Amino acid sequence: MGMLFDEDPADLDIEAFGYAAPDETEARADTDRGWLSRILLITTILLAFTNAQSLVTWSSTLEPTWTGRTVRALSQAWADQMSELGLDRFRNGVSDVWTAFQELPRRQGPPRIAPASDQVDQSPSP
Amino acid sequence: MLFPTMQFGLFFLAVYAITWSFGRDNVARKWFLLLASWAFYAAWDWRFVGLLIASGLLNWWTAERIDAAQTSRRRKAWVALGVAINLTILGFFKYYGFFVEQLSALLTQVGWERDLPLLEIILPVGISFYTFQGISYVVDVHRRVTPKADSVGDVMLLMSFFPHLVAGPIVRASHLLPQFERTPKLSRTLVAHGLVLIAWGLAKKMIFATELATRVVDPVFFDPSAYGAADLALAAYAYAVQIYCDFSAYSDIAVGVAALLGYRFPRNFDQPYRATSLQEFWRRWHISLSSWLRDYLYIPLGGGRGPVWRTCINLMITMLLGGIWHGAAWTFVAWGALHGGVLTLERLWRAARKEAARRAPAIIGLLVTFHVVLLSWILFRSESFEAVRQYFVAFASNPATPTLLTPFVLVLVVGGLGLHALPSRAGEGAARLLARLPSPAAALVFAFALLLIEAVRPQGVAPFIYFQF
Repeated sequence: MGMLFDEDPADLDIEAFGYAAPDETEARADTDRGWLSRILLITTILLAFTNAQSLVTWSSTLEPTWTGRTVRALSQAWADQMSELGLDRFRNGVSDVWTAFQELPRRQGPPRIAPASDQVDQSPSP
Repeated sequence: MLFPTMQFGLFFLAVYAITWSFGRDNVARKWFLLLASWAFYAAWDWRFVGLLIASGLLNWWTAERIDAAQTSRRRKAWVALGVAINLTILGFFKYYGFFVEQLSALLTQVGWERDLPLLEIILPVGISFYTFQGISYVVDVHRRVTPKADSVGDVMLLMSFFPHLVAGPIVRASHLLPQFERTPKLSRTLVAHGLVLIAWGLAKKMIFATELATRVVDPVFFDPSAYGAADLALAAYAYAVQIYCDFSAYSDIAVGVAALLGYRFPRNFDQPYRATSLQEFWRRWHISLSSWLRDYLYIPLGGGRGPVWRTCINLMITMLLGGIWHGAAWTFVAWGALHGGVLTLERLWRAARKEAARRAPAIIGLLVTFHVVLLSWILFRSESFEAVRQYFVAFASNPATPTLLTPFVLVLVVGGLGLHALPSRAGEGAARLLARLPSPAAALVFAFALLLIEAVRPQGVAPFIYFQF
């Protein structure tokens, strides 16, 4: 690669992919496209089952039209169903570990002087 | 429509399915991609789709005229007209308000106050990128670097293609037009690399860039005077990581998305903080812009062909204009001037140094270069010179007690910088491994990566930094 501002044309159009474009046959290209399509399909299905909460988050940003409300209700129902089956456990578990890591110093630091309202809220429930 | 959103995910799945359903009908595929790109752009502001179309038509028409011109003089006249119109469009939308404000302040200072026509102009997202693409197309046709496009649709798609439309990379006509002319074909290695880039880009944006922006950079740069030296230093390092992870993430996702549609984009980043000189930094940072500035500004100015003083002036002009390309503010001009100044010093140093002189160890060059870039990011991130002044005054006078440094933030900053220690083509290695797997296993790996990112990402997503340029 040439030096920038040294007028070396080798700098131009550096491929993002460090290999030449393969000269695929039509049949081979079709096979590889099938491979990608199956990946996208399976990934979409897997995420729909294990990451249903994202559908709820997204649907809550939709306009409150009939369509928006319907999509929101369906997303919520789907997420509740997945939650009942326990398919959101992995996502929630990772999220909890991550949150604990984010808040690490607070746990190790001196105890916070909580306002009275906080103390009431934090009392153990029966 | 931001890349890391459900909206874009659904949009892309639809575009993917329809695009490949055209089979070998390349014309229909391109028209569909063009319509999809306009829909993508309209998701921000449908009114500016007209401007995008007008810009594409203008560049197509200018290239037609250049190609049809019989004499060199006429070709020059047409290319000058094309470049001038492109710059006028960019100037009006991006710099009009800034220019009028400066003029008004100047007139007030000389005691000749006037009511100048201030307009509330909305900056169309991506205008700097697609205007530069348009300019490169007409100039390349003029230089005979690339033949004129076969159809108006190809020029429109060159400028509007949604993966690179709003924040680059700036893909040249000579790179993309030949790809539009043939039916795209996929290969496993290409798409595996695309998938790796998409996942990697999402992780950089959603974990490193977003968390550092929210926890450190935004609060500190909002009011630097409220923080001590330790927090201010942390914010500078955090911003260096944030801007790299944010912008390179966009480029990675753009390259990856284009790859899944069968198109190859150029590389835009190459571990920039590994650079041991500022010149090398600009070979690794926003490569599509730096090579654009070199080919369409620095070399036409004379480049490095003349005496050293002339080369230094050319460097300064190039970097000053590169600075103002980023935004209509004096802080960007100062950012460009700082880079131009250091590039000039490097050039003078190389000219003065004897061949036999011992080279400084690479690690010194790396540390010096990184910290010059870090200082320049403070200018780049600050809203005004007053904010820059506040930053340095607070750095020198406030107590150095750190209040924002947590293990989590430390991991993000060190990890973000540590990405530069990875092997330079690590993504390709991962892609080759992925490409060997059967589709269900590869899908499991890809879905697992996306699920991990989804589990740890914060709610919501801020626009990419380079959208404002």
